[in-house]
Amino acid sequence: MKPVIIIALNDTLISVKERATFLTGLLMPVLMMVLLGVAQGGNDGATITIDVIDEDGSKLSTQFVDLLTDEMQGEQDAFRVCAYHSDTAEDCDLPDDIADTPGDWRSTADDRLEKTDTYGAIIIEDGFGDHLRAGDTTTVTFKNSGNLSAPTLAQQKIDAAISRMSGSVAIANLTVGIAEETFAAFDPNSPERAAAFDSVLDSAETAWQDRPITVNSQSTKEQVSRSGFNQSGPGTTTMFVLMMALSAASILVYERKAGTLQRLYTLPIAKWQIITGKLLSCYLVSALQFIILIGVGMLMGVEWGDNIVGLALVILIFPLTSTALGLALATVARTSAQASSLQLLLGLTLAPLGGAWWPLEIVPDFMKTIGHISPIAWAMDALQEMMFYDGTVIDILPMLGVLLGMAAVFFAFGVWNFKYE
Amino acid sequence: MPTSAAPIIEITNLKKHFNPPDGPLAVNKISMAIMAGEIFSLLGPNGAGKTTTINMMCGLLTPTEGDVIIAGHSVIKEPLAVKRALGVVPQELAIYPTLSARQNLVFFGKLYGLGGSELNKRVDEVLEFTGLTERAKDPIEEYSGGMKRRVNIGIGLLHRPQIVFLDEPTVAIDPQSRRNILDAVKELNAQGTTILYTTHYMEEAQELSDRVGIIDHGSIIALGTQDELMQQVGEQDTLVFCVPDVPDEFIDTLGAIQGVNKALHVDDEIRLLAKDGRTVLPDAIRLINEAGLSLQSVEVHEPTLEALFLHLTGRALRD
Repeated sequence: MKPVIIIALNDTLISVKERATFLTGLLMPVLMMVLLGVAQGGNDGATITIDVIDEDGSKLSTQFVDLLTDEMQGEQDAFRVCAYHSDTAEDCDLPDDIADTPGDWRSTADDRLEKTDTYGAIIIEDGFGDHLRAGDTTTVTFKNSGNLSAPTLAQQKIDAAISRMSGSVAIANLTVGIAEETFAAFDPNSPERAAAFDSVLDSAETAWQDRPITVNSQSTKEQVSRSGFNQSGPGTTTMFVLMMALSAASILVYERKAGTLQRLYTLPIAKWQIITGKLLSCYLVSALQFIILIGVGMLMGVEWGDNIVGLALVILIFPLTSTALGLALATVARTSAQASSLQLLLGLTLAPLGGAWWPLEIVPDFMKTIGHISPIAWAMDALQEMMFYDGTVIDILPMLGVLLGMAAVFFAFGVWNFKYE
Repeated sequence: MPTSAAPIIEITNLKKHFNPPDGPLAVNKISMAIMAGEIFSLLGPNGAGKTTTINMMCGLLTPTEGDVIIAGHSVIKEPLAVKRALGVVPQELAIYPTLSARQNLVFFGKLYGLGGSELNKRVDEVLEFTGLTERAKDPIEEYSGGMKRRVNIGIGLLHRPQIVFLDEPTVAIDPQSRRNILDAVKELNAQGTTILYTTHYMEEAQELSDRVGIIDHGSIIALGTQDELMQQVGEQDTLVFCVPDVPDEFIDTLGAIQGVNKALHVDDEIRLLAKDGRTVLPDAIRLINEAGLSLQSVEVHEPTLEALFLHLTGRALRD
């Protein structure tokens, strides 16, 4: 075992002295973690901006906008409602005089949607209030960018606000209608009728404030927000750990070409000790990189969860699988250039496939299945189980088992296909 | 170093056929012995099979047939025992360029089983022997080609091996570094180390060797002391004419001169092998002039290993 450790320590020393190791192993992943994290919302989580254009300007349309705001902003600040007629829309990046220029509202909303500054725009057209008062149906337009799942979520909120508004309007119309027909209390178009309608509508709305039925949502696990860094942290970390471990292929092929591997074969030590030493070095460097990137992630606000033992197991097992894949790769590459290209190709294929660049939740089911041929998918599953669902070691055992199984298959192929001569 | 009558290396029917049956036959049933304490040179052109032979002898390649017994151990059955007796200096610079000479030597020394004060002592001795003590801590990538070669050699000497294989150690280095390496080889041999030295430089083999094996197309075509080998070629001179742009058919004209045993065209040179070079010289010059060729220089060489190779194969060593 002594020669294995001597070779591993020597190779680790060489890797650490190499400036490229620092650049590609630490600097690049940190930069990518920051860029992807910020692009996905940083530590705030993704906020969905929805513009609201109230062209009607009636009491009912104003109430509807209030309802929309209430529904949307109740969702842990996931939505930012930007009502053009209001001066209170903060962080909306709207022109200061937007409330005074209703003629520009639609084109402004279209521009913002096109530039993806917003996910959607709700347009309440002129006559909205009159139609409702008359008991007619009316429509609200929702333009959206079709971006990911945000419109669906926004649509749900709009539907909820419409249900509330429709309920209140229906009650008001019904009550005033009964008073009109049964007691001939007022003429159909009289101010008294309108006042009665408003009064009942307000009462109904007030009643809605204290909803008769509410859902008491309870979770046994503390929910961690899926902020940008909580996605980019594990994604970038696993991708670069995989790529670092895959460098085992380049190292073995390079040393074979340079002659240092052959020189080692002429020493009085077994060939398996030489190869194991080389792989151990790649494994150690990858595991060390994993630990450092987790530390950097913590500084950026990535919440890795409280399961220290589980995290340690992922740190031990994922680089093992990746190094084994590097060995397998070394046996099919003939030149250093081939090995580097394959390393890059595999890294840049397995990373997005395994959910390192975006959550696998947003891809179709068949892509989720295909994605799990990537070791990254299993590592991400284990990390996210611990990060978002307070997963225990038992919870992540299946993922770790698959990673160990993959390691065994890659090692077996590598050993079988390795050419010493 | 006085050589012993006892062979320390015995090669028997050694053969290497890559990817048979269609692949190249690199070494074809070589049999020979190398005596303890001698410098034995394996001389041959590039691609003759020198490195393949050495690679089989140090366990890098598995022989297709045959065996090599080194210091009493079979390279096939007891490879680790053979490797303990050997110091191998490969043709490539098999060193880690980002590490210093000392770091390289310490690393390989540890793998040879050295440790503690013994390791440090040997590293210091090897650095002294190779003349690198002053630059021991500098990264090797900052060394000259000759210094890198010396580190490459030093690694093979760390464990005081009985036998050292040097595979073309002077390729692509300056004359001064070559001189240093040849002197180091002689000194190493004087200390009692058996040397197997491969080269395609005839001068090196002539200067260093107690015995020489000439290899071509994977077979040993001549073997013996330099005197024994010279007897094979006889008292023949080599005439070297420097003549650019010689038509190939003109070589046959020169070969027909009475007293010329062989004629050869190598780059801008015509080489004639003749029993008495001075007798042949006037006729050769006359024919060259009559052919309208531009004769730039003429040299007459005494019998050499080069001449022997020419005599045996009809080709120059550099081919």
